[in-house]
Amino acid sequence: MASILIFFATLLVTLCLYYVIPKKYRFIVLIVASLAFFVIMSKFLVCFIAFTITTVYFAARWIQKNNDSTILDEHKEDKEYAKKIAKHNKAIITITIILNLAIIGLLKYFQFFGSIVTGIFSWFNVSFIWPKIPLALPLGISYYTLQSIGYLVDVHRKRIQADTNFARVSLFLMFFPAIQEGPICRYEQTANMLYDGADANYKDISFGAQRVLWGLFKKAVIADRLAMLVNLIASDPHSYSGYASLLFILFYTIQLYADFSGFLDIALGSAQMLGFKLPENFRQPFFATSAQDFWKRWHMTLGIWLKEYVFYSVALSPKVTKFCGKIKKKWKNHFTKSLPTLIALLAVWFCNGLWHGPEWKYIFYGLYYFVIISIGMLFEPMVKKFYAKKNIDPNNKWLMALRHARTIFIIFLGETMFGANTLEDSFYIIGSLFTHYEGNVFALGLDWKEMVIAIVAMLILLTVDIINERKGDIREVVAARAIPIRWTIYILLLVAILVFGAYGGQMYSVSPFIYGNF
Amino acid sequence: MLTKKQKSIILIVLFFVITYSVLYGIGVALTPDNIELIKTYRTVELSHVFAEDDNSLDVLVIGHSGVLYGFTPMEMYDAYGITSFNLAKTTQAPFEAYHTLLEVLKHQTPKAIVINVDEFTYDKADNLIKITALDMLNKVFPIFNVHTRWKYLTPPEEVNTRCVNKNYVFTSTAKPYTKGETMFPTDKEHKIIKPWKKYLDKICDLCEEKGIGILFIEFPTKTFWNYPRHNGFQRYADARGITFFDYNLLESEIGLDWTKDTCDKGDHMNCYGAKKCTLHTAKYLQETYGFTSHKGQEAYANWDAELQAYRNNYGIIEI
Repeated sequence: MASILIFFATLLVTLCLYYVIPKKYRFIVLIVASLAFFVIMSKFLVCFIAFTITTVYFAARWIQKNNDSTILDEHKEDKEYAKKIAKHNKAIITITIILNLAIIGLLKYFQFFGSIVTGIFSWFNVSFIWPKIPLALPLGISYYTLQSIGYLVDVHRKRIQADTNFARVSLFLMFFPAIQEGPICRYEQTANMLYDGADANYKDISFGAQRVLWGLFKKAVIADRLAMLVNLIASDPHSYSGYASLLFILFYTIQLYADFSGFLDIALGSAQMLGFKLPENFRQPFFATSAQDFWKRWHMTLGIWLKEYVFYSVALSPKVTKFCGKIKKKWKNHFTKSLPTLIALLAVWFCNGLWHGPEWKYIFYGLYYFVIISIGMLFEPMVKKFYAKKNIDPNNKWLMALRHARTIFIIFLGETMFGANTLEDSFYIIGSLFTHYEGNVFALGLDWKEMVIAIVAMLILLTVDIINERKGDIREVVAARAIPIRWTIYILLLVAILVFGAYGGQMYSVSPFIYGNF
Repeated sequence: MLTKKQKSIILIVLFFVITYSVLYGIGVALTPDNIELIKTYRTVELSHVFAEDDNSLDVLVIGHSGVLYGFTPMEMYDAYGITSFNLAKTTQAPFEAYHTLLEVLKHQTPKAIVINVDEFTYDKADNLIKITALDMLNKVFPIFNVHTRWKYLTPPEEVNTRCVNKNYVFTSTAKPYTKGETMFPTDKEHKIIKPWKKYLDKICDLCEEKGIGILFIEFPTKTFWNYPRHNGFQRYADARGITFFDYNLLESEIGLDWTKDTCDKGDHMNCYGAKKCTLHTAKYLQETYGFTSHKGQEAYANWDAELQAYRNNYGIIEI
């Protein structure tokens, strides 16, 4: 709760100052606000982001300087020099990335590595105690570390020029609306825009505020309400079965969506109020027709980051290319042709799982999608052949509906593994679906009144997603209506948040945003 | 003719005025009256007071957890036949005490009210700022404070039933306090902060207006209390002619034993400490107000039955 209040207080102060200060100085307001927000939230842990910004800034400049030297007249044709520089740059980027990953590794994964090491020792009957160190995580470390690596790799790949302006790099990495839960931005998407500033624009301020409200609705009315049932069952899944388990599976997935996309709406809406358009992170994910499609709609900026910086790095690496080339020469078939992609996908999904947290369930979650997407990819030619042979239109509405249902099943199953406290718990929950549960449905954390509100709110969410999917941005649709209709919608939304939001009072407690933990 | 800009400004202002009016209106509509506030927003146990027969209580006791654990009405009834109710709540704020009293006095005509004074000493700056800020916010946007009431428009059933303990929290756990003296005589004086003094004044004025006697008490505590606080409230009590028993200075008189009579190393009383404090208070009340014992009276048959239930639950507490 406190973090939301601090966020809105920071936003309010920033907005007031931002638009009264001349445009060319507005970046200072953003830097000060972002720094203040970080310090309030993470106190002295600000030193970690300061370290990341500094190392990435200087490493990028060093790489740039080396790159520039290769095009000087004296080195233009010198292949040996180019090789030497490439090697040098590789060393710089490797060391910088390792240093920054070491921080996140230490702070976030230390105990996880410890459990692995202890496990290995106990396998050999050797007693080993991994030290327990109480470590705190700086705000948004999983997000700004990825952004900083992306920036560095882009400079290394010569996609962008290293920035000589320290303030611009700092702002790009610590812009406060995006630091908590993303979106994970690329340098060319936001750095200049944030630094150059934006002019006050009625539409941006109004649309931004509407989006913030919509995010709050998702968070306070839906996610935190569903959390009451989800937390109850997650705390002791073995006491529940049948429809109680089914409700957990359905409600957790929707809670996660409402919570995460709700925060992103708040982040993107806040940025829009300041005149910035950050990259989207969600696009109606439950309307996906395949697991692959789902990941193009869910946590999109993480997917793009992994594709750009893990998938291509692995798939195009000389070692993988050489290895796969050898295999392909021996056995020429669809599988060997797909091998580089499969290896890269394995790396992507392993990283995806690990990024979510130091737990086996997240790694399993990542590998779950790897298996599903790989199977889809490997069987694709056979399925296409089958359709052609049987003269079936692959896009007919029945097949589409079937695909949709299959994807929903995959999503909900995956999120159950993600949401249960342990993998064993998630297997139990899924396995208990077909057993009878005698308890009262309204004794699962949501009485009938809460349940009615939850269902109505979820239906509103579904309706808005349908409109967004079919007609484009719902805000444009609403803005085209007459003032009385428009205003009624805005006021009803605000009233719904303030009256039915699960905040304050004796029976509610607002939970922190789920993806803030990753 | 208005320009486009002027029109926009008027529309924006109009939008905010309408929005605020709607939110304020809903906030006011959802705001419960005091009795509902007591019944639904704080301990249900306290609200059992409304199940007592009208005009049946001789004494009311106000305070927070010190009273909750320190004053047991059934021991006073057993000893003197005086009926009373413990109106304490954990971390009760003075304005809560005032509003609770206002409501209870609509149904009861006690002869005396006992006030545990350390409720009026919350003076940490953050607390005050927080309370003042929330108070202001609630005035401007009442919806924030009462929004959860949409599902509690009717109070819970159990508030209409009587309770045996009369809101006293029984515990026989003994965790001794061993750290030594905390009451060091001094001339320093605690100043009761303005917002709390306002409510203390209001409570005292209300009692005077209704002809109800007041007794100030500070139940024994090693964490909350010190000599400057004693001096501050003694001065206030003297100015208004109120008797003040500070049990932290009367330990030997009531026979308090910090190794046996506290349940949490000096913060609160257990049943033994509570009985000692209650009996001392009861003796004073009996002597001052000359109550007639209700024991055995037909109209108080409920109380006799409840005393029996109290004894069945906890037995005789030996002190």
